[in-house]
Amino acid sequence: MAAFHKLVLSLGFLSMFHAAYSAAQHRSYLRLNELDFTGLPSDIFLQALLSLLIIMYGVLNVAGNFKEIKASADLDSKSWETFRNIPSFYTFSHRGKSFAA
Amino acid sequence: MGAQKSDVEQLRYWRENNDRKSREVLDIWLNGLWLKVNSLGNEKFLVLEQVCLAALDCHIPNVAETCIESLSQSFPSSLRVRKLHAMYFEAKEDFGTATDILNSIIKADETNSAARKRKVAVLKAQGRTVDAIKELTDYLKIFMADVEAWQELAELYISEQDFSKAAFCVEELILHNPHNHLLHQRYADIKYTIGGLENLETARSYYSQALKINPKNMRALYGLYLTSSALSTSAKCSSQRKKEAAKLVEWSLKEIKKRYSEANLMVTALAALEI
Amino acid sequence: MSEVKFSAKAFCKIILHAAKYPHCAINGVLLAKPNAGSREIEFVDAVPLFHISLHLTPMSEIALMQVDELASKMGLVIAGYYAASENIRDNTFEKTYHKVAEKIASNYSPSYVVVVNNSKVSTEADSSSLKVAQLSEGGFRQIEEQNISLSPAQATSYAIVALMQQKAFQKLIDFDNHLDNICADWMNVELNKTIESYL
Repeated sequence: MAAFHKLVLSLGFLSMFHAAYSAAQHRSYLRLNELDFTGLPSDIFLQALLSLLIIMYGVLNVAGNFKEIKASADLDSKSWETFRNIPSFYTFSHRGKSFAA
Repeated sequence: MGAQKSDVEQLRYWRENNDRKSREVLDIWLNGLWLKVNSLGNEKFLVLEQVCLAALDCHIPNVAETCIESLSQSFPSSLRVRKLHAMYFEAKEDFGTATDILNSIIKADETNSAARKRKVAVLKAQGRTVDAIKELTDYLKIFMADVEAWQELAELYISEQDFSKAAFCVEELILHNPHNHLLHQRYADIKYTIGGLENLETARSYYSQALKINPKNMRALYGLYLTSSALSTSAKCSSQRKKEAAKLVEWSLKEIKKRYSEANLMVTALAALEI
Repeated sequence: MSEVKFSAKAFCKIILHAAKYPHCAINGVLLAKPNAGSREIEFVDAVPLFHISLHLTPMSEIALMQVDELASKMGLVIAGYYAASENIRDNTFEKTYHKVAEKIASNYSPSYVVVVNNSKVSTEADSSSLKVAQLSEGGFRQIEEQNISLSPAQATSYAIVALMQQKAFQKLIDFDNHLDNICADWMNVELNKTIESYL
């Protein structure tokens, strides 16, 4: 699934670059023919817009889940059960030894 | 393959959540993960470390040995692996060798905080809580921002029933993490335990704060009920304050009953809380 | 000399509580039929209380209130306190003493303190895994090992072995678990039925 979204993202970028290149080509064509620049042709504009949407979709899916804005939101589900565990200070001299024997 | 993926995800979840599920981790390892560990990529070393800790916790030394050997082959001069080696000796109760290894790590790298914390753990394991507290306070003079250490120090003081110092440590924790409802609730617990009118009022405000941050904290709700009822019956309280406290008692009791009825629980024991 | 008996429910729940949290200090209360002043006591049930920060009192008070209420509804009284230390070597009564035990003693006399001997407990625990003392004015009066028994003896031994094998301790709920999730039943009704099925 991740690979698919990465592919979509790359296609989006390629399409965007293509639209940009087309726009540049269009302007140089207008310059060569001494025509006025009134605006980009609608197909290039549409391609640029579509690429933008595809890139947005790709980035959102590649970047992972959103985090809550409220600073404490992810702490709501935390309990002392796991919060009190500090692996740096774990000791092993407990009755687990007697139960393992 | 599918079963393996979910096992690895489960291990990752427990690792990130600090779940001390040593028996379950060991079961997953012995049920076949030990054969597939090389296919785990970058997670391999984290999993090996996790399994090593679980094996030491369940007192199955040969699994711990295998993990440490595997890690030292991949990281021959790693101080982190040497620390695991020290923990292996700790689990065997060979505290002398463990302390020697830890001292050698600190000598090799003065800034290594993990080894210093293990020295505190060694003292704790020997039952020398007072020495552990001293070692930890010395550590905190150097590494003042280490929240884990402050939390551990709070626990040590609570176990020694030195509640005022424990309260100080929890204050430090709250400064670092003002949004954590558990810390506010713990601070209130400690203040209540110390006792006295002022501490009861402090406890009540911290329980309220914990409840405000996380309305689902049941301990905070019960704590609010307890502090309010203690205040409403205290002789030293003005009648105005007593009335406020009585209102809070009513409210908190109603909330508690609401929570239980929402969970569809018929709890006759709650009748004990009615004054 | 006092005689102390543990029913299967009481004994198994103490051991299962100790097994569920081998790396924590745990405590709980013991219920018995009211028989004040007698030289004999039989603990018919145990209520596991805490495994997190035992010395903080607010939740202990809440728990005691609720246990007391329920116990009196069942015609029982809180007559004992059990605890196990975090460290395998701390098995003395002084180390595990707690304000809760004092509270219990002030409500019912004679009351008892039970300490789980961390070095002797095992998956095949028997009455030698527990140390019992009576709380009196002077302090602790330890009960001799031969006066501590399980009732029924063989069935209880068989039950605890089977329960440990099935890892029944995972189903034990103590008051801390209940506070984290109020749907968890701290009276352990289901577990009680499982224990009784072995008798």
